[in-house]
Amino acid sequence: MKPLLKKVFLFISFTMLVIGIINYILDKSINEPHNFKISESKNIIMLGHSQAACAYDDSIIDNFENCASTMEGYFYTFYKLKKILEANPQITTVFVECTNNQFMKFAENRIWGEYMPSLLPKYFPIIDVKGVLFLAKKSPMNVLKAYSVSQKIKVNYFIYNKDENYLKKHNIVGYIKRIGHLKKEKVDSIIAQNRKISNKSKSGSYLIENVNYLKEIVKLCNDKKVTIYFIRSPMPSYSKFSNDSLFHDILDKQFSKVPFVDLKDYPLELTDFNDNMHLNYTGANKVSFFMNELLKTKSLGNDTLQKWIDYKINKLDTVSD
Amino acid sequence: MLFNSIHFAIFLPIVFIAYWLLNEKKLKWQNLLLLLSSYFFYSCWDYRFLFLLLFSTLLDFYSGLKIHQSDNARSRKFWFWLSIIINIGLLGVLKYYNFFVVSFAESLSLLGFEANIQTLNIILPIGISFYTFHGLSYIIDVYKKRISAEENFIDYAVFVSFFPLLVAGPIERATHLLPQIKAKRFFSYNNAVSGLRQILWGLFKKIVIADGCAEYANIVFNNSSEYSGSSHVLAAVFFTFQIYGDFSGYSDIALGTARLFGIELLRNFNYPYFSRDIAEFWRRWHISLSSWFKDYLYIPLGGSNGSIWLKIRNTFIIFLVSGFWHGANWTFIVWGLLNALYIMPSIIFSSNRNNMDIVARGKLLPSFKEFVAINITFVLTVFAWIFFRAKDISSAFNYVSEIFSETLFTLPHNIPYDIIFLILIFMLIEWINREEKFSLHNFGLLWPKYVRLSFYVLLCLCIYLYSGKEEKFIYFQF
Repeated sequence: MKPLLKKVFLFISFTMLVIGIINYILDKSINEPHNFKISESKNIIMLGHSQAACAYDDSIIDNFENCASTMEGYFYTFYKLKKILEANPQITTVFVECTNNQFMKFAENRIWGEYMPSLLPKYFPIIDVKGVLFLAKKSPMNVLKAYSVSQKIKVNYFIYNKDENYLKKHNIVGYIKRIGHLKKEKVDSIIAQNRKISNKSKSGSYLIENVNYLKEIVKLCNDKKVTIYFIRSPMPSYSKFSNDSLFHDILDKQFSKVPFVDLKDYPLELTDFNDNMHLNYTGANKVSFFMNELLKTKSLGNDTLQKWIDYKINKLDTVSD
Repeated sequence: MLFNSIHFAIFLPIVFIAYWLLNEKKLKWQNLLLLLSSYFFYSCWDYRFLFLLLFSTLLDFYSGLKIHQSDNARSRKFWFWLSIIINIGLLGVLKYYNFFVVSFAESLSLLGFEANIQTLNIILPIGISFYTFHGLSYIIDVYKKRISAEENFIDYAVFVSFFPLLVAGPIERATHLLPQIKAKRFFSYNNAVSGLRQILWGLFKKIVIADGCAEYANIVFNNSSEYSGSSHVLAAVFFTFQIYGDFSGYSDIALGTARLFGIELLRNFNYPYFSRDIAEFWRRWHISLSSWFKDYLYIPLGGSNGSIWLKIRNTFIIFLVSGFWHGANWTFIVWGLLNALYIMPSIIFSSNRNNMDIVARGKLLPSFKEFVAINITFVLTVFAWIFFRAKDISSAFNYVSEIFSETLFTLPHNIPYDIIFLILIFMLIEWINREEKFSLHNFGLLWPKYVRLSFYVLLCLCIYLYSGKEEKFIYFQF
């Protein structure tokens, strides 16, 4: 039996070595900066999850690229931003979607929980060893599975799409045009549903890991001398989060130096929403024109930024009344 | 614990090493280890069903002893029928109860009556159809005095629950497996290497071919109305390779694993897609089930002796039961009936035993006639698989009608060229080795060592690249 075990061991070791070499070549090739290049004219980017992806139509906003992606936790955003900034030195401003649900405990689904099997394989090639170990501590089996799924993604990209932007090719950046409408009769059930979700986070606890990776994002932007803003996208008027005070507390205490652009109360009709969280294309149109104006005023970075936004929103509110 | 999982990759070497270390000791310790590891393997799905397996094993073991020990015909009959009724009863309730109740209610509603039906919310214990059939064949063989009853419970329990075959076969016979369990086994390097080669080929079939095909087939079968007629054809062909890769891949892993432990299991597949007619296909597809039905159902019914009508009746019965064995759904019954219809001409004209040997033995290529016959048989099989795969009968008919739409002659959507290429390579290797027990049995043994090694590494690379989904084996649901 010993000769058999010895040969099997040697065969497995050799095969793993070959796999390691192939992986190294694939990773090296995918991580080339040109695979993350966006248009030279775009110097402002938006990051975040589906709320941001649905809210900002980058064909309307000048010099702006929507790099948000559905289900994305800050862990993945951090690694994506790292690659984008490395490849695009023209970027001067980064907006990061910062909504109440990113700090709730269930946001772990967006990192190592429920959504991990569909998220991780696409992000795997851009995550470093530290990141992989972080995930492996949380969900080792899913990391292993995602790793092998990512191999096929890597090979396919290497063979068929080498000249395409890796993030665009795998749909992990870009504006998402939603065409549905939130119906009034559904609102009541949505409010009840919201309450249920909110109740889960009433304990005052929050997802530390997501907050930590948001800090990493801020640090990365500071290191690269890129201006960072947090932004909260518009929500339906009935939306209430039980963790709102905790949310502001975290922003005030842990991110006091990062300006917060709050568009939560931007006046929109229910028909401008696809569902209780996401804007549809009509809502996205309105918000994108507003965002374009906001960026043109050059008032970003000004201490009175939020006052200006509130003034504009109030003005819009009066007009719509 | 799936054969294509990391858990199994850890489990197997541990059991293998422990097993052969025990070789120095007594055989009974080796068998005890096999039994415990088989029960552990099974309990990884759901430990509660272990009690059902244990109950079924105890029942058949005890009934077998009683039948064997008794000289009284009535007593023998009592224990025989007790075992048969309980085994089939359990299978019937757990697998078919809801189907019968719902079908009955639907028939009543067609007649204008409303029935208040009560279905059971039960999970089907994995492998129940397989281990029940093990037990049934044992009881029938003991009752018919083909074998003596087994007196050692551990040996008998290993026969029923040996982990490579526990959840999806091959369906073993006591006459074949029990003597191997009772005999002292010796480690053979060549056998172990052959077992590893068969496992490698099984993993390739399952992970690369079956799971690779499943992706496209699932998309089209699950969203049938969104795809063109040509996509439907391609998805049906892909499912044909998926089910073959899946089930024969499983069987290869099972046979290879058993060989590592010095045990030879019954062969389950013999290159079925190279068959020249449906009768030949059924001699080459799921052989252990086909031969089970032949021995325990078809022959007792009279087999092919008697009038032509008797033959036709028996053929329909066996295909109907075979279809129903696969699951409680009308789709399987229609699939069985379709196959019965396909085989009918050869039954009527007594040509069902025309093609007993593998096609073009000793030749590189088949004759034109053989080539056409293989392709016709393949097309018929693809058509029948549509019913097997569809979630219900109406979906199956919709699927067929969508094939014959105006988009039949357009290019299919998003053709996965890599999978088509891999299928071609796979079938080429199968064709070259069609006279062997399994494709890698002797393939490449005469090549230079490093070329052979590179080939195995290439297979491993393919497996690695296509793994990650850990798709369940289709036959686990049966």
